[in-house]
Amino acid sequence: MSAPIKVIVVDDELNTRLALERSLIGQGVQCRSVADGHEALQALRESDFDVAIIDLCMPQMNGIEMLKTIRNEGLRVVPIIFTGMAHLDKAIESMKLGAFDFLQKPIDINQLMLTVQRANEHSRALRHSDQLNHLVNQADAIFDASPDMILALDLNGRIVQCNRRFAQCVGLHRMALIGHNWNAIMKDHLNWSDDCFDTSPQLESNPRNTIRIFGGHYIHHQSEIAHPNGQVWGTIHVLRDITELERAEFLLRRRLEFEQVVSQVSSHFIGVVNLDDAINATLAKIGSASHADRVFIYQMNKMGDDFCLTHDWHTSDWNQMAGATPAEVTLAPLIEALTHEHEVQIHIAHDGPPAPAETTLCEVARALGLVSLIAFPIFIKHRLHGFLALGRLSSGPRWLEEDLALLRITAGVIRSALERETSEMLQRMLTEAINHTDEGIIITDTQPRIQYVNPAYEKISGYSAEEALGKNPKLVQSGLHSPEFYENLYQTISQGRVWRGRFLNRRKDGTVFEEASTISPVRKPNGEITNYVAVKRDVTDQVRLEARVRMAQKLESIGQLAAGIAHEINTPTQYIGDNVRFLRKSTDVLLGLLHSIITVCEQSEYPPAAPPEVDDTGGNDIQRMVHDSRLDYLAHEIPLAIQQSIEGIEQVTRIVKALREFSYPNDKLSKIPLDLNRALDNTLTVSRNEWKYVAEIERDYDPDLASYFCSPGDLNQAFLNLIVNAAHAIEDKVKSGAFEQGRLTITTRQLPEHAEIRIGDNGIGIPPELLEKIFDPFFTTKEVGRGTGQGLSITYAAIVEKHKGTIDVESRVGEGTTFVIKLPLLHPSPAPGDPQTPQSTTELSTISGVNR
Amino acid sequence: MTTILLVDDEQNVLNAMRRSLFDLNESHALHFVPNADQALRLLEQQPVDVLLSDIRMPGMSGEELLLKAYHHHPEVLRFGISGYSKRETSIALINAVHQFFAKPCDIDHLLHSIDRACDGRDRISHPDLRRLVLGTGALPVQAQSLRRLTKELNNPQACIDRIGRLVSQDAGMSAKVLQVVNSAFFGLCRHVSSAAEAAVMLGPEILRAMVHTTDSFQPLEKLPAGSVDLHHMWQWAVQIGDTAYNLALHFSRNRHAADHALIAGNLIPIGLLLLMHDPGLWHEITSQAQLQARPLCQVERDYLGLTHTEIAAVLADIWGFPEPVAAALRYAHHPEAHPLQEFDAVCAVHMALSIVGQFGACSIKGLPCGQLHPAVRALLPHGAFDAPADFLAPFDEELVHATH
Repeated sequence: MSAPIKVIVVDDELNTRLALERSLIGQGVQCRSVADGHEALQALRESDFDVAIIDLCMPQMNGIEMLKTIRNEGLRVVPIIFTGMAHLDKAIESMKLGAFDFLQKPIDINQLMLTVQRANEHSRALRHSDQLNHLVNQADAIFDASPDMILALDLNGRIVQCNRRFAQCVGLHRMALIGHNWNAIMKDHLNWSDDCFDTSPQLESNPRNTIRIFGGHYIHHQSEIAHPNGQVWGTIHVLRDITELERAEFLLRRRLEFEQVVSQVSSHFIGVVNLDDAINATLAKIGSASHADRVFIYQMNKMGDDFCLTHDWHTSDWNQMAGATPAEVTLAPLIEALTHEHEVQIHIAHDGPPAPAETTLCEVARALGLVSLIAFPIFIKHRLHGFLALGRLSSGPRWLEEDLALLRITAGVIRSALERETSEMLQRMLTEAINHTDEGIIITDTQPRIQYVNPAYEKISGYSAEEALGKNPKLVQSGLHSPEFYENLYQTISQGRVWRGRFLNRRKDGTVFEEASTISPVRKPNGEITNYVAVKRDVTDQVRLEARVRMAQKLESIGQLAAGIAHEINTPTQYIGDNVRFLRKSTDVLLGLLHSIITVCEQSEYPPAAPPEVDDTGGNDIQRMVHDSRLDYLAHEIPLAIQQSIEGIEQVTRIVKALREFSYPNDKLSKIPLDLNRALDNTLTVSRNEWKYVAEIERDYDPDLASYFCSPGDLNQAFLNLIVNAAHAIEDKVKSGAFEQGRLTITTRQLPEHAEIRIGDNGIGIPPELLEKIFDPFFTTKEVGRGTGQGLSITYAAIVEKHKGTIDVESRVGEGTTFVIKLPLLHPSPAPGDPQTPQSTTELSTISGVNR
Repeated sequence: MTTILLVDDEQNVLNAMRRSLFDLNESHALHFVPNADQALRLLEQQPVDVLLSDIRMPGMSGEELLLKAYHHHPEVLRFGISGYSKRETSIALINAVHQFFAKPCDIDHLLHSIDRACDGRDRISHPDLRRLVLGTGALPVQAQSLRRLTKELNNPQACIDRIGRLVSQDAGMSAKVLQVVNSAFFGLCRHVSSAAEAAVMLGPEILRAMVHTTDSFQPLEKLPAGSVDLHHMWQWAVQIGDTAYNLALHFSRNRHAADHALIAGNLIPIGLLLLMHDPGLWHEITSQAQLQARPLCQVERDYLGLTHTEIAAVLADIWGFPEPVAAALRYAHHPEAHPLQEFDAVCAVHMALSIVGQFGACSIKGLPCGQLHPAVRALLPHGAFDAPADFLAPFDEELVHATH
């Protein structure tokens, strides 16, 4: 059952009004009656009525006015006008003002009911239409408000409807679209060659059913439209723009990918065993991540003069490309660019030549077979070590900022890996070197505690690393050095200076060894000393060897003197021998004479009674015998022969003794007291043959000259070299005919703090330009065989280096040369590493024993 | 009467010598002077047979004195004596002195050597020959040998054995190095058994000095007319020496005798070399030999009073070679003139000559053996000389190849 019709009756006449109400209610109509137009309008405003039956003539507001108000206010009611007087014009006006019907009094209830029913139907239709309109308006608003493109096509592809967004995207007015064929519009207005929908294979293959049109990327949703009877008459297409969404999505994906790559790249280098494998894996990873066709690394070769391709990854397309082999590529412009830039990008543009500045770089890229290239330098220790480069075969999209960031990070990771590899290799080498060197190495902290000893030092000291670690280096102290010695050492290194010297240390087995040490502090960048590194060498054998070498030098010089010394000995030996032979002969003669005399005496009486008879020869037997035996001669010569033989023996003895003192073996480090005057005399004796034919000796010795602590062998050697040189200088002058005999002057003086020795000659002198060189080893002006050039250099070493003395030379060409030696009288304090040996006391007594 | 001039700056040495010679009879006149200047003056003033000088002296050295004597008084026998043994001092004297003595030296040995040298010299009556024998310091050598030796000596990696071999391939060189080693030139007087050994002992340095600074070896670029082929002659001498060595070793079983025989054999051509050194004299003798068609030895004896082997013997005396060497040379052709008690170097050289053949009388390989003197044959065991070729030293092929 339909809802009852709601009717309002408006009539100023009470009876009519009530009668109508009654009749209508009796007809099943929900009815209300009011007497006034205002009251009626008020009711209409407050609630819905289907039909209003309005009397035309009313005192307050007539029916016409009311119609006007209903219409103006849009009140939803269907008005019916009734009147007692039939005025046509009123009826027409009423109809114009929206009245549904015009009835005349008296009103037949049946007729009225029919009219009310029709009016009610009309009201219902109106109401429905209103609703429909509203809906359509709403739909249109929604349709146009959609950000998606929506269009409806009929089965012929004509646009039935489209929303504003679509029209905007196409760029045409909606009216120009509706009713036109979609594909035609696309072709006409957008130059599309293919049918966009239905025929596009993209729609089929694309799982997301997306479409790229209007410079964007859209999701395409398609549905059919059917008549209520189910017959399909068209399709509706919704295109949702996902360009931005997709981009965001893409970026997110890239971001994730990027992070993944970075983490993988980093993980390649963690605990890496084979760096090359890690790098190759990384190249592949970043290559595929950044859609590169080729990723490669060039590195400086071992010689450091060229860059070589060390790692190369490329896509399968690569092999088909005619890229130059690495050897043929001249990288110079790229290398040059990379030394200044953090990255170098090269893009070979298809249109137009590249900028001149980039021409050379483009050639590099072309030579590498790439259209697009990006390279990152790899610096190791501020030096270009190589570069990481990515390239593409075609000019695809530009490198994304994210890719660049990835590449930068990767280049950094590879750089640090290479750097580590380099430094690890260096460290390995250093470790190898330290482990295999013969030099002992100890590292201590500042305490000092031993933190490291290398195998060589384990061998030198006899302590194993386990035994030494953590201990104080005192572990090997022998107790043979004074506390001051160590204090000096500590002062030196704690002030950050390097200490060099020699230790007498004790091995684990108790034996003492000598080691040459260099101890250097290790500093932090802020200057703080953190460690000390000691490099030590066992020089026990070397010291022995050095002593042997010194001895050998001494022997050598003695050998040089040997010929002269032999002469000095051979000459006396010659005359001693001759004298002794003479004495033998004389003795024979004398004994024969004695025998004869005895015989004569025995034959005659004794004592002779008479003087012996003089025979014919004018003498007796004895006289004859005495005459024959040349007794006078013998009596004169025999004492001389004996005397000269003794002289000869003394000379030989003197030479032998001087020789022994001269070459007294003193190869220990200790010094013993030496009488310098005596030493000079010995040296003169030993070298006598060198000077005696050309020079006379003038000695001016200071008798108060104190004994001097020294190494006698070294000093004697020094004196000898100077004396021989002086003799040679004089000899040269003798040969030039200046004189027959020169003069060799030796002076000693006791000065307050020095012993001064001057050895001078009046020989040829030394030209000023040579004076500087004379102490250089192997410098000589003498002909081969007369000198090795070592003499003065050895002299210098003995006096200056060994005895902390000075040696000066005064010389004038043609007038002579004087060497002035000054030896410090105070015992020189032991130089660092020149320790006093504990045996020195015993040696001292031995020496004095010899001297006595 | 022999006049001896002794020079030494050390008065003690002179005194002692005078004393130890006080019992010499009048056969010797001794002059002792303390310096070279006085010695030179004395040499100018009176004839002196022997000059014996110390080497190292202030003023004019003995070296200088002896060199002056060599040049101005070549007929004087010159002996050096020194306690000094520096090598370079003595090198200059290699040509100038006949013998060198080292101090300390037994005065009796010294006097004996002097007397022996004088005796040797006195055997030469021909004045030209005497001058030649006493005044010749440098010996003629084959030019080619000298070039090869020089080349080898200049090679920094010179092989001393090779040098020895090169020296032993030349008569003049061999004789000279034997003379130097035999005397106490370098403070040592050694017994050596071959020229090669002598060269090795001297060492490349002294040999170099001998070649370059003293010209001890005088290359005979052009042989005087009538000369024999030096190389040919030297091969003959080497074969004589080696054969004599084999014989001595076999029959005497005395190594010294064998060494003496070898050295004597090698020295045989020295006489010829010396004669060639005086082209005039040499030409005279060789042309006479050709003219008279007589053996060279006979012409030599007629002309000079001595054969070339006897001249070699004189040189051996003057140079102080061991006396058996001098004897072997002197009596090589007349062993009977020498007291033969056992098979010694004299016999060995004589026998070697008879086997190898006398130079110029037959070819090198000829084996006439009928000339062996009966006195020598008598010393041999029975049948020992049936196969003389057994003793013939092999012809040194290497020598031939090396030289040609």
